[in-house]
Amino acid sequence: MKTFRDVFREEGVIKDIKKNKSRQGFLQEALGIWSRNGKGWYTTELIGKCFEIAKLRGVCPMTTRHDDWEPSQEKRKHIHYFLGIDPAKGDIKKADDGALAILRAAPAVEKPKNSPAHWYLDYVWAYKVRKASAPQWGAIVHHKHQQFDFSGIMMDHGGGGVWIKDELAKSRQLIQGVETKVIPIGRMEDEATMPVNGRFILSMFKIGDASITKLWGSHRLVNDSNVIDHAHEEFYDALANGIIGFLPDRRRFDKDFYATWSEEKKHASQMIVMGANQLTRIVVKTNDDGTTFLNKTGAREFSAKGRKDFAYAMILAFVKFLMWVQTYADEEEDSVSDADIDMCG
Amino acid sequence: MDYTWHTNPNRIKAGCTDGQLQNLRGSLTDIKASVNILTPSVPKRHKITDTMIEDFLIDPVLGVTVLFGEKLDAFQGCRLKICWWVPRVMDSSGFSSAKTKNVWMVSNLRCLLMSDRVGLIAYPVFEQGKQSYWKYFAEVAGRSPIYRANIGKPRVYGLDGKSEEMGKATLKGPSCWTMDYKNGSQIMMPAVGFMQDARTMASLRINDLYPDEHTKAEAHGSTGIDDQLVQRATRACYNQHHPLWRNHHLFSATAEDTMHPSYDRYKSYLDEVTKGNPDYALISYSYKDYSDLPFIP
Repeated sequence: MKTFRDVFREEGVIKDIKKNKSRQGFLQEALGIWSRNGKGWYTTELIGKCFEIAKLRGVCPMTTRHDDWEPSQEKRKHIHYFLGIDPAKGDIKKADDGALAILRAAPAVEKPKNSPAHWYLDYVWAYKVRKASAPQWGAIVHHKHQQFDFSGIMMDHGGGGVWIKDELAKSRQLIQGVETKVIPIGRMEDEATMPVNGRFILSMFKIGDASITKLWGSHRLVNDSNVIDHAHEEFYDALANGIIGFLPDRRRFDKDFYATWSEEKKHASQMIVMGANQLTRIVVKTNDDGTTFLNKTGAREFSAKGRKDFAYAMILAFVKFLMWVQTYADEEEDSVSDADIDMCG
Repeated sequence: MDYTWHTNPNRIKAGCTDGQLQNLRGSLTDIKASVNILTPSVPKRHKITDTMIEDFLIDPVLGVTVLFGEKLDAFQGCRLKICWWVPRVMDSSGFSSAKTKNVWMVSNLRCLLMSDRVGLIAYPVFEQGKQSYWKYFAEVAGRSPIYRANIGKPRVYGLDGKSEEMGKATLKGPSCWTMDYKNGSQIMMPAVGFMQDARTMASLRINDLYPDEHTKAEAHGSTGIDDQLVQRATRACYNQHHPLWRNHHLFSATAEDTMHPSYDRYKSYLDEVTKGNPDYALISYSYKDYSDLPFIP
């Protein structure tokens, strides 16, 4: 007579799963045990600290450069903005959401040098883009660039980023239904082929990009996993050192003050909180013994349970800041003083 | 006010002339037309009697055997009892341990034995529910006459005098499939829309919530289960303080890792279980639990 074990226990399938799955995967799917197969990279405490930092600095949501809370016009000249873009294709049936995040960099010392520690970094704006085509993406980025005058833009090359790059290089954009003439945005590599008046502030987050090579060229870069690994490492250091602030949830603001916010500001506040939550769900892969897993190129492997679009947009904006700050002091020293300009008359 | 009428034509016919019978039928129709009348349409031999209800409420495994013709292994019977008696259950059992079948049995048994009960089945993808949950209705109805006799819309005569009992037991709408029971209970399986955080579920009121494969919905960042579905399980029940009669939640999916968004829910259940709260239970059976008990199909 057959038993329940004979009828329902598929030994072949169990053997296959044992062979193909990791120990943790087997525990979870076969035995129904919640287990750890990765460790969180950004802890909740770390992220919570960033909200506190922003609150202390009086960070507010911004939709244009003019919304800056710094009252001194002189000081405002030294504030820079960086845009991170995690794009998504809009023309496919199951289109994902794209994310934009703006990082504000204000000097923390009187004469800042090329060290991130000399700057206060705060995320002040974020935006979710759903089902936008490449020309629409181009228009959104250019529109925001008109409002913020970015010092740098970094975009992930996946999710249609390659096509958006080409759109950004066009001098005519359909902004809010009006065909508008804009200054094309391009990469440093495109300088030879682009119109003279282009802004070469764009970087693509992939191996082989000139700015990535400039930033981490001394490291071993074999494929994109190395670039992602470095980005997480640098971002973690910045968070741990308390130089980054996240715009707090709207409930942390005074009710009357919050009531004056535009819809875009409210959305920005929500999206930054969402990005912070996404950061806490990023995990680094571990071996069965709990040690960090390294792939063939020696890079750690990161993954996220759930969405990570805003988290990555925020990280990309920060990486662009790192590229920019690397040469900040040089550019400042190279600049010609007003007196000298007058002499050149 | 509702009246129950036994309209067996043979019983009425006995001792009546054809004219009297005609008049009697006419007057019955008049009465039905004036008030809402619920007419049982379950044959007597397939009726779930009060004694059966009493027995099956206490022993759901017996209920499943008699009503659905199911043969359960020892661990499956144990799991069924936990799901039956404990109001908040999370079943993280491994593959091939019949989690979905368990959800089906619990939800159907509750609707059969308790009148006016509304259960909601939620799948991350509507199509998945159609294929993995709904197939059991046909399977069980095919082999169990008593189950077959107790599903379907109750025979209700409306104020307009027209019979409304013609509706099928199953209604397969484009965005929601429902199963009705003769005692007024209902199981619904809507397309929840987790991508929109289940906002389409607002204003719905249900007794029992059965999110199957809930970890898959939460993996995409949807907060629909907490924001909408859990709040929907607030429909009035017979006794909201009794473990059996109160509204139930049964979450079912294989376990994930501790960084998964669903882990927070697991952890909160675990905390309650650790505290000794009898309203919460966690289940983790696996293929290892299949026994050597004889299986007679």
